[in-house]
Amino acid sequence: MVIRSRAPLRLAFGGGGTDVAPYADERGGFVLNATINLYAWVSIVPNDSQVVRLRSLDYGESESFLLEQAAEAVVPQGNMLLAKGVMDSLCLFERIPCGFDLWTHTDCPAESGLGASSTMTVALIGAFNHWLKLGLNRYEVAQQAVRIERTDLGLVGGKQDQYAAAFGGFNFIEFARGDVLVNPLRLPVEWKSELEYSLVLAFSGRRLGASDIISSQIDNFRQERVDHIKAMDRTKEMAIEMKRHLLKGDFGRFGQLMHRAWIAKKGMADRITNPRIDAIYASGRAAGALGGKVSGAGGGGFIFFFVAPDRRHKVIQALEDADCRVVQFGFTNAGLQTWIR
Amino acid sequence: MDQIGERGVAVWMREQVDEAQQVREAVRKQVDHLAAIATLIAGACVRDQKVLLFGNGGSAASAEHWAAELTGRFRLADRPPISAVALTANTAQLTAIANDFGYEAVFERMIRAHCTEDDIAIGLSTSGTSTNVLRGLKAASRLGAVAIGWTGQTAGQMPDCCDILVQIPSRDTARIQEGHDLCAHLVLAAVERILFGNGR
Repeated sequence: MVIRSRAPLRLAFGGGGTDVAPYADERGGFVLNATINLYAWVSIVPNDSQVVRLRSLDYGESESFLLEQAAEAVVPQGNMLLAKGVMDSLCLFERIPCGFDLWTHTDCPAESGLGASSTMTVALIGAFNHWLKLGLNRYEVAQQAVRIERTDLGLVGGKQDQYAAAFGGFNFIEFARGDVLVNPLRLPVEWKSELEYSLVLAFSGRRLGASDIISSQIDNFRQERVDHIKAMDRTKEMAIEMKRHLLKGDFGRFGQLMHRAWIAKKGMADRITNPRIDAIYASGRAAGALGGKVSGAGGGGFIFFFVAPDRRHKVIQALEDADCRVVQFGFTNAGLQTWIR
Repeated sequence: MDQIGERGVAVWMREQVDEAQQVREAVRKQVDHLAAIATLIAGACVRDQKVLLFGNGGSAASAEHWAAELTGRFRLADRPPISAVALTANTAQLTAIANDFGYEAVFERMIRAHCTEDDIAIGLSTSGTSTNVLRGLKAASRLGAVAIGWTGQTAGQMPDCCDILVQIPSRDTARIQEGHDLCAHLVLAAVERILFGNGR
């Protein structure tokens, strides 16, 4: 028996950063994102031993311990942090009936800005939810993922990835004082195809210091830096505007807004951009992209561009010339999925 | 053997078997303790630690016997090896250390050479008075390994030198050795089962 779980990565179109506490709690946050057909995968193979073996196929990390000694063995640090954090925080050791092998795998490089670690947390919770019949619904899976990462493990970041991964699809997500509302956007399938044709996703290289960027955003907010707070407010407004254009199928405006959103995002913290990203962005625009942005916190990783389809090949060429790896993708409506085989 | 002749021998043998049965009953009462030891050893094996075993004479033979069951296999048809080394099995090291540092230093020196923190050290002395075994256990405990002393009823200084005691309530060396083998077979089978299941 294998318990399989997968959760989709996401593209964050607008409002990124406004989902991070304390801004999200005090002023409310809005984000617009969509899940794509790249996934975080988790497999659990129970056996009749009492040994827990955790492996990350991406990082070559592993960790083994006896179920009986799990309470002492699982400290929230070191290798396989998310898997250990999930098991510990959900108090799973009392419910796990036997030893098992667990391995994780992600369809994108680490630290790439597609929300991979939060998506992995969701996939991990999903796998245990299925195996141990925990009965968590999608909201609860996302809530638990946020709690585990942000509170129990103390990892810096927002909340949009966990909800995107759990629910899937195009979503406009509202954050206010700990309450989260996921508004699924219903778009005709042809519009999604048009959007796929209009977007170019490129990997610029591993990003550096995403948690520092987020921490400095938090500091800027706490120090009541008016210009930063204004930039955040503006980002949020643009997320609402982007949603409107998207629902109307006005992709030209959507693309232009992406450009303005990126300019605003750069004002939210230092190091969101750097000379390499600026150069890549400039070459994408020069080749005909209407707009674009760095996915995730910033500092590197994936960059995506909105292009007029007849300029698509030019933009791809320009990005490859700038040493980026262009990645084919499509949108997916399926959120967290778990099954047994 | 007060009585002589075949009949007398048979009577004596019956008494010995009865004593052996009493030892088995005593082991039966210790299974919770043995299960805890099995978990401890399995936990070390999962963390890629090793098991080091040592003793004199028949106990040396037991040390090598148990190491073989861990590194080779015991009850399962096939499973990964477990790192276990009997310190008595290297004649050159044993005689060199005995020659240069004295026989009482042999296990202590090998423990200092091979044992690391969180390893398992198993030292056997039926009397609890074999100085080389006691020093070996003490050294292992100092290094942060788990020192498990296997002994008999009198126990000698064994309780002061190890972290965990396996004690067979008999004063007869033969019965103690049999008790040790029974305990070891229970513990090692449990270790195998904890780590690898039933092999299905």
